Amino acid sequence: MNDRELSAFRRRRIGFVFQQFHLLPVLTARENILMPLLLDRKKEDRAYLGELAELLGISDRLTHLPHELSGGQQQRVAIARALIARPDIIFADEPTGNLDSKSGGEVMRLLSEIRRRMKKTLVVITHDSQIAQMADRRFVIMDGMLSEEGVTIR
Amino acid sequence: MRSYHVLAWREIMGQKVVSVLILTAVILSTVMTTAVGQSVGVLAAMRRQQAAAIGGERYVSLVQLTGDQARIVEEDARISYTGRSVQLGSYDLNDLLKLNLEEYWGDGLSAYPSYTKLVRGRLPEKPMEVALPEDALQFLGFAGDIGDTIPLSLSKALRHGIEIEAYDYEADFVLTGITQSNYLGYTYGYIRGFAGEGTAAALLPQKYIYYNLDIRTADQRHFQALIDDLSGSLGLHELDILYNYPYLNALGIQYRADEGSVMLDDEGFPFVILAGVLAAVLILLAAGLVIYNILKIAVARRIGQYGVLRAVGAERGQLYRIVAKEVLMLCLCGIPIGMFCGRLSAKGILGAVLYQLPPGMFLASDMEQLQVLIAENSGGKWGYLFISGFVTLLFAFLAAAPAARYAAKTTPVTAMHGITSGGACDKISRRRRRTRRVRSFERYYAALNMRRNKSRTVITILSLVMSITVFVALQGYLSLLSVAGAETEHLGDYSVINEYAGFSPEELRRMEADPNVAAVAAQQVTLYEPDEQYAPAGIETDIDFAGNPVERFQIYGVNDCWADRCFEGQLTEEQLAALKAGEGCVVRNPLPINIEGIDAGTTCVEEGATITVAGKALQVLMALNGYDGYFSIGNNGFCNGLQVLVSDRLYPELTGTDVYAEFRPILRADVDREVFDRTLDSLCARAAGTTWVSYEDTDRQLAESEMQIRLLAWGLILLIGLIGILNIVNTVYTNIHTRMAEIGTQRAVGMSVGSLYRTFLWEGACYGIYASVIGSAAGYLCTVLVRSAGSGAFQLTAPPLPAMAQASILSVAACLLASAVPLRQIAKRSIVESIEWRN
Repeated sequence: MNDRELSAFRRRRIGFVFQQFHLLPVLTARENILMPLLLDRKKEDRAYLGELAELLGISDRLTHLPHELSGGQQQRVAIARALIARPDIIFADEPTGNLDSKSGGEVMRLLSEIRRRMKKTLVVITHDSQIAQMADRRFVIMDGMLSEEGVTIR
Repeated sequence: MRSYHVLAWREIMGQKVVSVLILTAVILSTVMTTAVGQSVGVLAAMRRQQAAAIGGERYVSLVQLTGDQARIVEEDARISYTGRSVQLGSYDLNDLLKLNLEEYWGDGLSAYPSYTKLVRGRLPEKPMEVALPEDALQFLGFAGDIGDTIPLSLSKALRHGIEIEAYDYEADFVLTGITQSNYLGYTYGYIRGFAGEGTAAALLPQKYIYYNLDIRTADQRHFQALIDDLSGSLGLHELDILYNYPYLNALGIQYRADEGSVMLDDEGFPFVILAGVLAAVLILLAAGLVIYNILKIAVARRIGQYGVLRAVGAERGQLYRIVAKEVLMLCLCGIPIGMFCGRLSAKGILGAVLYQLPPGMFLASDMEQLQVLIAENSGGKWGYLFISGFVTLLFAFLAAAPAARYAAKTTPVTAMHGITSGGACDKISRRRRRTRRVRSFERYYAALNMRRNKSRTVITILSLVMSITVFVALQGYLSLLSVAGAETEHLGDYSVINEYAGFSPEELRRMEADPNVAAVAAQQVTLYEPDEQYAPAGIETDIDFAGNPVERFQIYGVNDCWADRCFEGQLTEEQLAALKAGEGCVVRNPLPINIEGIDAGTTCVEEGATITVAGKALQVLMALNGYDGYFSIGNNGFCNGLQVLVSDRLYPELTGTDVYAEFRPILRADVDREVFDRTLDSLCARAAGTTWVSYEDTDRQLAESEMQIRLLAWGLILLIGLIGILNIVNTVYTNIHTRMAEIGTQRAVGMSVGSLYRTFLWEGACYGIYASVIGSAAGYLCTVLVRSAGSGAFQLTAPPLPAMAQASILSVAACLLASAVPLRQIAKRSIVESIEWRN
């Protein structure tokens, strides 16, 4: 695939949630969420945006800039951005790594809720065994070897 | 690492792009400051040399002193130089020129090197010996040689009526030396001759012997107070203190200007110096903006590192010194290179500028003399070189100071925060938060990015604006040059002038008979001073003069060749025939001039009227008004007043003289001009006071100087343009590198490389577009101001649209190029690498 096709694949089929949120500081929360659609020159789905914002509890924070939000709120905006293009799979890289335990727990509860309600595949990378317990399947990388708990992958 | 100062060098080497950009800005600004500094030095030396050549190396002359008074001044310890002389009398060479014979004591002549250049013989030493210039001997019709006797009828008058009657006498002098002609005195109507010490005592009655003292004072700062003191103690008349204004001005000595005195036209020096200093300040500002911008960004990117230094115990002053030392090291590399290039280009730049202005503004008679003066004064100037380097260094430090202060103010906490920031913590202020649909994300994001760092955006645009302004304004000026160049049409191939004795009709016939000459256009002129009622004195006329004291009545006579070439097409065949037959005239009315705000009236003669001049009735065939079409001799400029032009057949009847003031020979094709030049030289030898110019030479000089000024203008445009581009490159480079994590995020959520390009190219284009609009407007304003200054009245001109369009296209293209080049590398970087990028 060339860059154009790869870029389109990323914005349409995959959602990313980073440990450090990586929101664009110049855009409001709403604009950050809509960015994959804007890049795709697609019209925004107001109802879906409203539903996501409601689900993530950021409806009253959509006109704020990232630095005006708490860490937990920033991560929720990042989750909304990952979901706005209705991707098939969501990758979350240490989504709670930069959050306090309360906010971290809230974010994981939201991610689980989303996975359940939207029926999306959620791949979470974490060091936290409590979070890992929330997954249907768990994989471990140790000394460069990937293994599913209970099954060895060669 | 022996000292923390080594960190400065490591930082220079570690950030090569930043270092190269600052180094380039330092080199470019040093080139300009050095060129200007050297030019100022050359101009100052030229001004002193020319001032000394005109009025001598003296500050003031005390004239008409008694022997006792002269002795007191000579013995005054505050006076560093005195030269004593006695005015022996004057001899009328013709109506306009006198020979002034002066006796000098001791080394009194050493103050006048330009008047005492010997062609043959020696300067006079004994009584009754004289040395006279070549032109004076020509006017006298002297055919002898060194050692021959020369009889002179002299008239010695004393100033302001000490003796009412002048003392007239005749004496035979021995010619011991012939000096070079010096035309500087012609402005005042005299030629200087020198006699040996003791001549006055031998010839003048005691009551006519008074002394003149040329003076230089030891203390220049209290010059005026000293002169006032001398004047008071000796009881000198104010008219007997003659200040050497050009020399005092050139040396910067303060004196009390006499309102009634004649000031020499030396304003060219301060004018060019001011223009040069302004250009240098412009470049320094542009370069300062670059240094400020680059360094501020560089420091901001290293803020974490400075925080670590603070955390491990670095003092604020130490951080300040690290940044200052970086700039110092770059300046130590850049300034010598800039000085070398600037010194090489200074002579050419100065020449190109000076040749655009009348040589008279620099107290020179022609361009060749100006060239010689520049060459003579181009050596040395180490002081100016040092000052240029120092000024550049100072500006660089001033520009670097905010960045150094910023680094020094870093706290360990904020610095560590800067290191660990994930990018989302950058505080952005945005008042307008639109919710309506975004049509083009790239364009929208580019516009938002421009507002992210307003000071950086403003500086970048400002630096481009300066480039565009200079481009548009200079293009406007160059288009004026083209128009002026296109208008240089001459009547004839040469202008041969003698305003003093003039040329006899026989000389005209002789020139017309020359086989190299196809035709000769010739003109005559007589100027009439106004009498007490402001009517022309010495000629009868029925013209109704307005009584304006600044108007001078002038009669011009032209031969048929001149009339044909000047008025063919303007006058009908019948009118031209009437002009040539002496039955009609062409009149040019004076320009309206107010005196101290009061309209003194302007004489006006209508076309078709009949005027009577010296008893001859003349029909006015054509009346010219305004500045265009004024009659003059050579390029001597315009004398305001009613000008009546008639045929040379009628001219002697009106004026009582038949001499010509100017010939314009028109050569046959394929003539050897050197042969004809020799013919003119022999005419100069026959007719004293004759000067000639070849239009072929002046046109060539004009074309050369126009080319030089074009090169200079383009050099300035390139210099400022380069600095502007440096700023753009730096801004875009920094924008890209400080947003690396953002770029990674954008790419991760699906932004393609093309989209990334478009975002940054939009941003670059916006810089160019904003700068083009503001710069074009500012450039147009400058063009209007330049033209208004030239015409003396504010006037709106058509906008220089081609120059504006060129500047806009160039600047937008430069911005796009500056954005595209660094983006190529960034686009190739992997998404993970970009996200994990640390500034």
